[in-house]
Parts: sequence; C-alpha cells; structure tokens
Amino acid sequence: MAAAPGRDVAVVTPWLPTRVRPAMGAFVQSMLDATVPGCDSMDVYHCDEWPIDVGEEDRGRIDGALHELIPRARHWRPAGERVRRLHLPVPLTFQLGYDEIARRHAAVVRTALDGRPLPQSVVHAHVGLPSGWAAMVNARPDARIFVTEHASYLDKLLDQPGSRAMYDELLHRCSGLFAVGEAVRRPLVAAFPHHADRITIVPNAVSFADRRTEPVTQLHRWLYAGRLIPAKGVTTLLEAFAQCHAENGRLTLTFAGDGPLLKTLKERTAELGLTGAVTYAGMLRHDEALALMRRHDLLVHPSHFETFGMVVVEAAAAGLPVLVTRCGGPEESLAGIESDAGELVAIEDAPDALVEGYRRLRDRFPHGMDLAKARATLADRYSYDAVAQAHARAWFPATPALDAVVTA
Amino acid sequence: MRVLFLALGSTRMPTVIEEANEVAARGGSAVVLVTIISTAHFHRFDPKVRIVRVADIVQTVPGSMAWWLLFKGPEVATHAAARGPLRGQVRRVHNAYARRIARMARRGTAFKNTPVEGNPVHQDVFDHVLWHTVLRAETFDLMVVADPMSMPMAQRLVRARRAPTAKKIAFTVDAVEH
Repeated sequence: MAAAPGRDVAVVTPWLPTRVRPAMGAFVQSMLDATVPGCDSMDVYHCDEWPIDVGEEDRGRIDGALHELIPRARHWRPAGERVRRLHLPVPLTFQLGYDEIARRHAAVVRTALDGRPLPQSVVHAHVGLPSGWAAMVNARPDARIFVTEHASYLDKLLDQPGSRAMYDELLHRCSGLFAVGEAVRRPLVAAFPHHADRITIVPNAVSFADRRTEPVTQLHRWLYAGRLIPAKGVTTLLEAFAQCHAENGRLTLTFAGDGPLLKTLKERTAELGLTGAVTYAGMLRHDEALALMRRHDLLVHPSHFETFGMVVVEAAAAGLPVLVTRCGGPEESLAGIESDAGELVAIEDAPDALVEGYRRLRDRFPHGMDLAKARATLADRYSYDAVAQAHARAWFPATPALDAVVTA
Repeated sequence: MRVLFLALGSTRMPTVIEEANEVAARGGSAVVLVTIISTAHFHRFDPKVRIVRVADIVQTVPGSMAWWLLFKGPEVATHAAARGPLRGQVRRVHNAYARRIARMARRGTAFKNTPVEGNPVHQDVFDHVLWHTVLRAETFDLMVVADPMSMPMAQRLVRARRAPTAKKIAFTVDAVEH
C-alpha cells in the first residue's frame, strides 16, 4: 500500500493492549492496524489510567511529580511501520467524575507536548471522554478532530451534567464522531439532537486475513472470550452449558478471559462436576484468542450489553458459528445474516434461552446456515479495508483517488 | 540492561513482575523497590530479580544513621523544645512517636502505609537509605517509575540529582529498547 503525502495523524486513546491486560483495547489496535497503511505517519498517545487510593493532598503531590517527570520519562517507541507510541500514565483516584478524568487526560497530553499543540492536522480519539476532550484541548486550532465512540459507560457519562456539557462542546468542535453502532449513536443523537449530522456510524475493524483450515463439523467445543464479569452473563452461560452437557457428555467449554467472577465460576464448575469439561484459559493476547477460535466449534456470547460486540464478528470471521444474546451491537452486526451466522437469543438470567438457542442451532447445523455467506457479508461491512476507507474519506477528504491509496 | 523499578505503591505489581522478569530473562539485572509485597507476588518474581523492601533497608542500614534519623534526631529536637510548661506534653508526644516507630520497625512494617509524601519519616529516611544502600552502590540504565505512589520519590531523586544514577527514566520498561 502506498500513502499519499501529508497524511499525518495523531491518535489519542485510553486503551491499548498491555502486558497484563492483552485484550484491553484490542479494538483500538485493530483500528490502528487497519488505518495506518493509508497514512504517512501515526503518533499514538496512550493515556494509561493508573488507579490510586489517596487523599486530596497526596494526589496533588503525585500530580505535581508526574508533570515534572513526564519530560524526562517521555520516550516515543516504534510500534510498526510509520507508527510510534507514547505511553503516558494518568493517575486517577476513585470516585472522580468523567469530566475531571477527561481534564486529567488532557493535562497529561499537554505536558507531554511541552504545552505546544499536537502538530498533526488530523487528530483521532477513541471515546469522547476522556480522550476526545484531551485531543480537542491539545489540537491545533485548524486541526480536524474525529472521535470513535464505543464506551460502554456512555449512559453514565451523559447522566453527569459536567461531562455531558463537555461532550456537547466536543461535538461542536469535532469534524465527525464515529459511533461503532446504533446502540451508541442512538443515545448520542437523543442527547445532542443539534449535532445529529456529525454523528455517523463507522464500525470497529475486524481482520479477515486468517481463516480456519478445517471447517466446523459439529458444535461440541464451546468458547467464551471476554471478561468474567456479571454484565457478560458468564454465570448463566455456565448453567446453560451444564444442562447441554447433561444431554451430550462430549461438549466442552473454554472461558478465555479473566475477571472477578473467575473464582465463583471455578467453584460452581466443581459443584456441577464439570471440571473435566470446562477450561479456564485466562487472559489471552488478541492473536491468541483468535487462534483459539479456530480450534473451537461455537462462540457463545451471553452479554447483557455490547456497543459493537467485536468478538462476535471476529468469531464469524474465523468461520465459527455464534450463539449470542440480543445485547445491542450483535443484532446490528449480524443483521440480515442472523440465521446464516448462528442464533440470537433473548437476554435472560435463567439459562433457558441459551439452552433452547443451542438446541435449535444444533438441530439445523450445518445445513440450516451459511457460514461462508455470513463471513463474506461481514467482511464487506467490517474488514480492515472497509473501515480504513471510511476513516480515510473522513480524515483526508481533499485527496483525490482516496480509495485507491488505501486499498492499493 | 540494569533496571531499577520503583514500585512503592504495589498497585501495579502484576505489570512490575512481568517487566522485571523479562529484564532478568534477557540477561539484564532488575532491582524492585517496594514498601510491602504479598507472598503471592513475591514468589512470582524470577529468583534473579532482586526485591528490596524499604523496611529491610532501614533495618540493615549500618551504623547509627537510621537510629539518628528515626530516634535520636527527634529526641534531640524534643529536648530542645521541651521547656517550660509544655515540657510534659512534648515529651509525651515524643514517647508515643518513638514507641510507634519502634514497633513498626520491629514488625518490618514501618513504611507499610506511608508510600507517599506527607510523612516526614518517609521523606527523611527513605530517600537517604535508598541512596546509600542501592543507588550509590549501583548504576542503572533505566529507572522505571511503576506506580503513582513512586512518583514523588522519583521527583525528589531527580531534583537531588540522584537520578543520573539511572541514565533514563520511564513509566514502563517497554518504553525503551532493552
């Protein structure tokens, strides 16, 4: 791929995969991977939130020390061709409002820039607050600012008057806000109808580069990939699996992820006598999780809410049928190909919906679905090329033959 | 590469463990300075990683330095201040202080809850013993400020020109080539 001249982009994000949380911000990393081929250079400001539990006075001392240290501890690190990354800690005490958190992100970026504005003419932020605000405060007056919104905490943020006002100001200043789906766009348009024309849908990017060598032949090996928290419905999943396993002892389930429910899930697994059938793989790197998908037969995603549901699209890209709740993003991403890709079920605390959904899927597999069609349809919507073109059209609108540059 | 990790808050210990172990695995040397460390975390470090507990430093400071800073100095100050009608009150305060510090030092938890500034004992003793027992004796290619609690101390080291002991400062070992 060849890049046209003058395509320099700054990206500000609170999330990127890290050593101990390799799955965190995988969607941001995918967007970077997808869009960088169309750029000359990309500077990524990773504002990493570090929690602290101290009083106001000590927090002030820590903040003072941080801003004095940043100029000495500021090291740009190459992160691939044309990309470099700057890691910046943002110490945060608990109970801060979203407005204050955003101001702290902005201050850290400003210090890293020695008070000067970001030099790029295009600045892209991941989530409106905190990073969109940090981008806006530090951008050149003539810079074009874009934001990808995929925060699951958007409703809470909009409930706080201070952060809501900041979001309004950000929308006023930015050139475009990309919601990753209707589940994100709808509340934003409802909250800011006067900015509706700036809020468009540009989904997360998903790699379709790899596909499994052996097609799925039976739905025996279940996989869950995500955090082990109540909002993801993982306890319901375990109960549903227990019922299905009672009908077919060859079924297995792998939990790929970590979280506060891990201990509870393990204890319940033992109580159910499923220790030999359920595996806890822990937190995996994104590439490891994708490889795991190619070794399983069914992705089960029982979440209560998803702004996009990237893992569902990634599973379909890996040739995996999906059993997923109607939790926001997946209805949209699988629209028109629901029965080809798998089965959508209602969100319930009881396992019945998942169990019934699995039975329906099992009974019509493989002839009642078309995984190849689902994969091709999703590639048209969410592949790196598709998403990169959408970004490039927004970032560099004056450049002719834009699509040729990005897809060359 | 020789790396000093300041991890006084222990709030990002999994990251510190990963990074220090990797430094050791690559043939470098890693020293991790902590105030307190759980047994679980301690055993996850590569045996080649040197863990330095602040309480251990204080207890092993040779000679009278720690004694002076912790006990004798305040005692001399108390004698100077304890005059007139306030004499009894000042002495009671000092005795309470001395008992508390002695008890904490004996238990090895003298700095358990004092990883940030605001505590004079922490500031006076901590930097001094670190300098004399770790920094002065070794040179480091990199000092990693691994959690927020360590930032004030790193700032003081920089201001006191003791940080040049480490050629670079970073917030993660991944920020530099190693």
